[in-house]
Amino acid sequence: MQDIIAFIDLLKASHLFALCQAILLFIIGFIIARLISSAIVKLAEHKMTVHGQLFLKRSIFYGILALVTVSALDNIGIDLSILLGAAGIFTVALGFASQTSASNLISGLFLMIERPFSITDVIRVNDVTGEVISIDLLSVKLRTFDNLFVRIPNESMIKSAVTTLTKYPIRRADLQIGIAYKEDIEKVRNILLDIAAKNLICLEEPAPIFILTGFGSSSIDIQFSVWARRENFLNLKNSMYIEIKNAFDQQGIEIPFPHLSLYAGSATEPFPVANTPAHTSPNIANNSLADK
Amino acid sequence: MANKAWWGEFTFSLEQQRCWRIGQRAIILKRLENEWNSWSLETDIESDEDIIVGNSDDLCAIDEAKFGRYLQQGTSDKVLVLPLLADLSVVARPDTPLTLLAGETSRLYVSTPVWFSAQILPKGDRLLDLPFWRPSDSWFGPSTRVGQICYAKYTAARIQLTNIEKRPHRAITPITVVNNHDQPLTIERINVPVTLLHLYADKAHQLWTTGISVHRDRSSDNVELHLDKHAPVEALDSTLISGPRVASEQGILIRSISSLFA
Repeated sequence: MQDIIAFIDLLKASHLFALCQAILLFIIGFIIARLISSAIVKLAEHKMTVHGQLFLKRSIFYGILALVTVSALDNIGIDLSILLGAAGIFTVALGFASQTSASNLISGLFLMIERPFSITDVIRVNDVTGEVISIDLLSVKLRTFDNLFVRIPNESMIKSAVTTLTKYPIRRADLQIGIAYKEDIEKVRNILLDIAAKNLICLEEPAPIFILTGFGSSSIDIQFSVWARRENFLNLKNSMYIEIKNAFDQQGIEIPFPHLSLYAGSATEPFPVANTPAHTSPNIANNSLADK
Repeated sequence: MANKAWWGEFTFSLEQQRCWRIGQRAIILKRLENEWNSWSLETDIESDEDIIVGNSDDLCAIDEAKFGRYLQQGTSDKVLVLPLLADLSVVARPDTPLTLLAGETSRLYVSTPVWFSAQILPKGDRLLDLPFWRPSDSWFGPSTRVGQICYAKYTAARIQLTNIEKRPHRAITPITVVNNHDQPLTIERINVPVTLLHLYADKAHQLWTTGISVHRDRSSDNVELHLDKHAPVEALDSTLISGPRVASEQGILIRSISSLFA
């Protein structure tokens, strides 16, 4: 029995006991931090956005974990003031080694404070468009519409232009339309405005905009801009293009495609082009086979 | 004008179907043993005819209608059909922009479309909530960043009540505008908050909403929006048909002027 007590005393005197205590303290602290942060977020679930909840949860968790770590280190007998002093030199070394991570970390903090977008928003960064599923300290995770998971480092989010597609409730669709040179522009304008007026998901205000963008190589180019609720954006684009095509067909308005004229010079006529009947093609095929 | 009310409590025997029809637009309800079926036959052109409640046997284009199935273990035999006001604010536009001079008061009449709603009694489960003709979407606000989604088109604002067409699928809202400001108030468009209003029917079964008064004060850019407690005086012998979609405790609301007029 005395041997056991002596062993415990020895253990108490050694660093091992303190180390075990510190590790235990850290593990318990970790669990408590997780429980408390989850419980508080659950309480505030209905009052906050998903983004706010995540931010609150992370702040509480890391706050408690930092306190627990300090107290665990104190338990081992490490003087924090010395550690902080040493940390200065250490940070310089670490800073050089983990430049990218540190930069991402700082960028992540700025992103959380600035909040150009929040979770569930749809954003576009460098040709990647997707729904934000999480904003973390090092990266932002997106789910693209073809259901791929994209991780974008925070540093590149800060450096490049980020477009938030779901910031405002309404969006404008710019329809690019070409009409033949022979068509009456005023008539086309009236037809387009009439289609927009009849389309129920096309907003009456802001009013549709008709812009003549220029004389193209084979058509008069028009931009017709119409507004819709954000969620109806694609529906509006589709329905407008279909209705425009139908109306142009009905009214006999030509939608041209690029024309190419072959011309051999000023002295000759352009090459005459004629359709050959379809039934001649098998003979040609047979002849060519016979040649071989 | 409608001679007969198309709303109220309807009793359905098993396999019975009823049709609410206005011109070519029709809504059909059918009771089966364990489910309700609905057909909604839509048209583009708004009709001014009366709404006829009857059997749908004579309806030929039922194949083109939107079909809905609502499952219920042992269907109950009573359905409450009610007209409801739109589920978003409606923007009305006078034929020409009106200018209300300083210190003047004016009463405008705005007619807005109603929705067809059907609930199963006694629990009140909603079967249908459809517009007879869906108005077009629109946006009302000072900019494309600030404002609200609302409905537009198929609405008109008139100064004289006689000029407004009385139609069975429309409700009339009287709006009193009081301009106490020293500047004239130009009204190009009015945002009518129909989601806050009660719906009444007069003795001729014309639908009316509670009146609104808008007071613009001398000092501020904000306007006071008063919701009346009773049916408008123009609606003779009126009865309450349905309550507002959004319950509002207050009778007076403060709004910025740009959220009501443009």
